[in-house]
Amino acid sequence: MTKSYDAIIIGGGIIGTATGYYLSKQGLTVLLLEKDYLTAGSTGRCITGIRQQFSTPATIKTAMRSVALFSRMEEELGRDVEWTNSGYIFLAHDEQKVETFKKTVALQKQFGLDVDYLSAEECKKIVPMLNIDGLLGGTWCPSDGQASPFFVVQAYAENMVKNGCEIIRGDEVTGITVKSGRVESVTTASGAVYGAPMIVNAAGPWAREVGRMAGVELEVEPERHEALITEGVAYMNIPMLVDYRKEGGYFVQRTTGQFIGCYTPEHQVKGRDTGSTLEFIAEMARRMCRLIPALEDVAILRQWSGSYSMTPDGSPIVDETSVAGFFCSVGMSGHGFMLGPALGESLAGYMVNKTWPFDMSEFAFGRSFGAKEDLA
Amino acid sequence: MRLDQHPILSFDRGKPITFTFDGKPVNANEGESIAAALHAAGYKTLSHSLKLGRPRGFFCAIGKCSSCMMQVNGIPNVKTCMVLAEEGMDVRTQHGWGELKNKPSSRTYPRREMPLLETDVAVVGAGPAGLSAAIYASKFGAKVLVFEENTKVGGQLIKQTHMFFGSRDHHAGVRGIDIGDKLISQLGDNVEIMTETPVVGYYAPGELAVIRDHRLHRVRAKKIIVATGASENMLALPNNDLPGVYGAGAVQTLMNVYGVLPGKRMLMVGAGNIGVIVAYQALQAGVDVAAVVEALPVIGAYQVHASKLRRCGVPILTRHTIQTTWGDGQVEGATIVRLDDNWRQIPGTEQDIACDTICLSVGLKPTVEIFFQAGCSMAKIPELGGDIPIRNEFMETSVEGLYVAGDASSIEEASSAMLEGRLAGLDAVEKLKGSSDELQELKNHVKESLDELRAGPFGEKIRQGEKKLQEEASRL
Repeated sequence: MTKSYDAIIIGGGIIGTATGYYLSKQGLTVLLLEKDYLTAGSTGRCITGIRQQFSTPATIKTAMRSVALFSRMEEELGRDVEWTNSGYIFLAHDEQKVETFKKTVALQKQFGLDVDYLSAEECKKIVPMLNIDGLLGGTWCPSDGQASPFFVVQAYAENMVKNGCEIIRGDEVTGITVKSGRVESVTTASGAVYGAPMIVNAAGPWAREVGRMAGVELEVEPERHEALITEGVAYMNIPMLVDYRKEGGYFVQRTTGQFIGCYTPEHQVKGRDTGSTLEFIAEMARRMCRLIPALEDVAILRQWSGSYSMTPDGSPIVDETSVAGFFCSVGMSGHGFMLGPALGESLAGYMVNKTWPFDMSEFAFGRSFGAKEDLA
Repeated sequence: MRLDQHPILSFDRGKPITFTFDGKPVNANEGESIAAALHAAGYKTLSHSLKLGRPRGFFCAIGKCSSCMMQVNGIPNVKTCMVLAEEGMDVRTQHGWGELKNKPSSRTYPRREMPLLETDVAVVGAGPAGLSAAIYASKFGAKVLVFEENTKVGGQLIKQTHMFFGSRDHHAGVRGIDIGDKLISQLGDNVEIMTETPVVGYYAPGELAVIRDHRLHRVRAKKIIVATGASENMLALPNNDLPGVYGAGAVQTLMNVYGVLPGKRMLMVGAGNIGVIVAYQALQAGVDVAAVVEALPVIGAYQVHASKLRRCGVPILTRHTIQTTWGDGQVEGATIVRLDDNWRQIPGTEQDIACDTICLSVGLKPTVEIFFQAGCSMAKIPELGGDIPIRNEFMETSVEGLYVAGDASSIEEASSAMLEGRLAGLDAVEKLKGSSDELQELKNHVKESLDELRAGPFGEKIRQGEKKLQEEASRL
C-alpha cells in the first residue's frame, strides 16, 4: 500500500527543510526525500552570507523577513545556528557602481532597511584593515549577517521531525506520477512509492530534471562557483566585503575565525561539476589580500565548489507550476541560504492558505525573464 | 632538558641562539625546532584549546596534529614543531586562534604566472618509501622531484636508533638513522629533493600544488608516487590532551633527533614493536620508565626487544590499560587498570603511577587525504591501518599514474616501505621509459623480497589485509 502524506518535498537543503518545517508548523504531515545527506547539494557548499541588500521589492522584503527569522532561530528551533549580524559592505570602485548603489540604497530604505552609502574613509572606519586604494565608497548594512548552513538545516530538520514529519535520506526520487493534470505520487530509486496531493521541487541544481519528471520545464541552469576557507584567526568582525571589480570577489570572517569566500568566474562553467582548480586558490588569495593585506599571513585550509542554480533574471522561481499540486522553490541563483527561511515560510503559507505574505509575482512560475537583478 | 650523553647518538648542537617566548628569553641551538627548544627550556604548554582554553603541548612532532600552533613573529597558527628556531624570534602562546596584525597596503598584488615545476616522476615524502622510489625510478633514467614538508630528509628513519632485522637487502643490522643516509647516498644526479615544501593538493590530471618559499607552485608530473606515511592514533581517556601526553614518534623526535628529554618518568601505553623499542630508547636517554601497559593478552613486539626491556627491570603489563591521567596543567600521573577477557576494566585493580610523561603507542593511521582528493577508490582495511587507496601489485592506485608506497599504503615497517617504494619507482619508470631485462629482474626480485618479508607469523595480519585488498581491487 502506498504511504500517503499531506505533502512531499524533494531535496534536503535549506529550501526543502525550511519549507518542510513551516508546513509541519501548520500541522501538515510531510515527507522529505533527500537522495544523499542533508545539505549535500548547494546549501552545504555556500559561504554562509545573509544579506538584505537587493534591488527588487520582493527580494528585499524576502531577505528582510529571512533576517528576522534567522534572528530568532535559536529561540524558535532550540539550536545555536551561529547567526550574527556581522554586516555586508558593497564596495564601489567606479562611478557607475556609485550611481547604482545610491539608487538601490534609496529603494532599500523605502522598505525600512538600515542601509547607508558611505565614503571610502567611512568604510575604513568599519574595517580598519581594508585597503581603500581606488575605493570610491560603499553601501553598509549592519543588520546583514552570517550563519552556519549546517546548523540551520539541522535545526529545521530536527524540528520538522519533532512536529511529526519524516525525512528519508539516501533514496532518490526517480519519477513523479501526474493524473488528470494533478500530482499524485513519487517513485524512488529503492522502488518505494509515496503519495501526496502536494509535491515541492526543492532539488536545487537538480531542479530541472525533477521538474521534467512531472512534465514541467523550469529554466534553471546550474553553474559552478568555487570557494575556499582559511584557517582561523581571532575574530575581528570583518563583514562580508563584496568587491564588484572585474577581478573582485566576496568574503567574510566567520564568527568562528575563518575567512570564507568566492568569486564569480570569468567564464561560466555550466553543469553540476563540483571540481576545484589550482587557479582559483591562487587568484582568490590574491584578490583577498588586495582588499585586506594582513591576510597574507593566513593559510588557506580547504577549497571546494558548489552549484549556483541560475534563472535568466537571477531571481528564484517560487510558485505552483502548471501541474496542480506541483510546487517549485528553485533557481536560487546563489541566494538560497539567505532567502531560504522566508521563502520556506511564504511557500508553506501559500500551499496551505493560497495567499502570499506580499506581492511575490517577481518569483512567479511562467513569468517573462526580462528584468535583471542589479546586485546579482 | 638537553641530553649531554647518549650511548648511541652524539648531538652536534648548532650555534647558540636566543629567542623570546611570551617576552622571556629562551636559549636554543640552531637546528632545533621552536617546539623542541621550548621543551628543552622546560615549557610544555604551547597553546590553549579553542573552546575550553585547555593547555595543549607537543603531541606528534611531525606537523600533523596542530597542538603546537603558536604566534611566531606576528604570524598566527605556526606549527612550531615544523619551524626551526632563529635568533631574535618572537614566539607567543596562542589562546585559541592567533591574532592577525594589520599590514600597510603598499603592494598592488598584480596577477602573476604561477611557477611551474616539470618532472617525469614526482615523489611526495622523503621517508624510506619515497627515497626508495626516487632511487629506483632515477636508476632507469627518470627525472625525479621529491617533495618533503619537513626540514630533514629521511622521514621517521632519522629517529630510529635500533638495528633493523631481515636480510642484508633489507638493511639488517643497520640502525635506522644510518639507513636514511645510505638511501640519500644512492640518489642519482637526476633526483632533486625539495625540503620544507609541502604538497597541498592534487589537481587532475597529473598535477600537484606545492608551497615553496611561501609561494604556490604547480607541479606537472607524468607519474606521481605518494609516500606520505602515517599519523599516530590517539587514545580516548580523560585528560588525554594534557601536555606530557605524547605520541611515540614525538618522544623519539625529541630524544633522538634533538637530544631533548620528554620528562623524567614515563608510562608507555602499548607493547607493540614501537612501544617497546621507544621505551628502551627512553631508558638509553636516561628517562625512568615506570611500566609498559598493553591491553592485549600478549606482547606484540619481537621477543628480543621485549626481553631487553625486561632485563632492565621495566614491567610489561599485559591485559592492562590506562584509565585516566591527571595533573595541574601538565601530566603528574596516571591510573592504570586490569582488563578482563572481554576488555572490561576490573574494578578494584586500579593502580596509580606517578609520571610526567605518557607515551601513546597505540597504532598508526595512513595519511591518505591526497588519495581521497584525487578520487582514488578507497577501502577500509583495519589490518592495514584503516582507509587506504586500492592499488595493484605494483602500487598503482585506481587513478592512472598515481602510486602509493610505505605506511600510506599499509602500516608496516620501514623495510617493507622501502620495498614498496622500489616497486612503485620501477613500475613508474618502466611505463615512462620502457622495460629491460634488468628492470624486469629487479622488479621480480623486489616483489619476492616483499613476499618473503611478509611470510612467517609476524606477517599474518598484513597477509590477511593484503588478501582483503585484493578482493576489493577485483570488485573495481
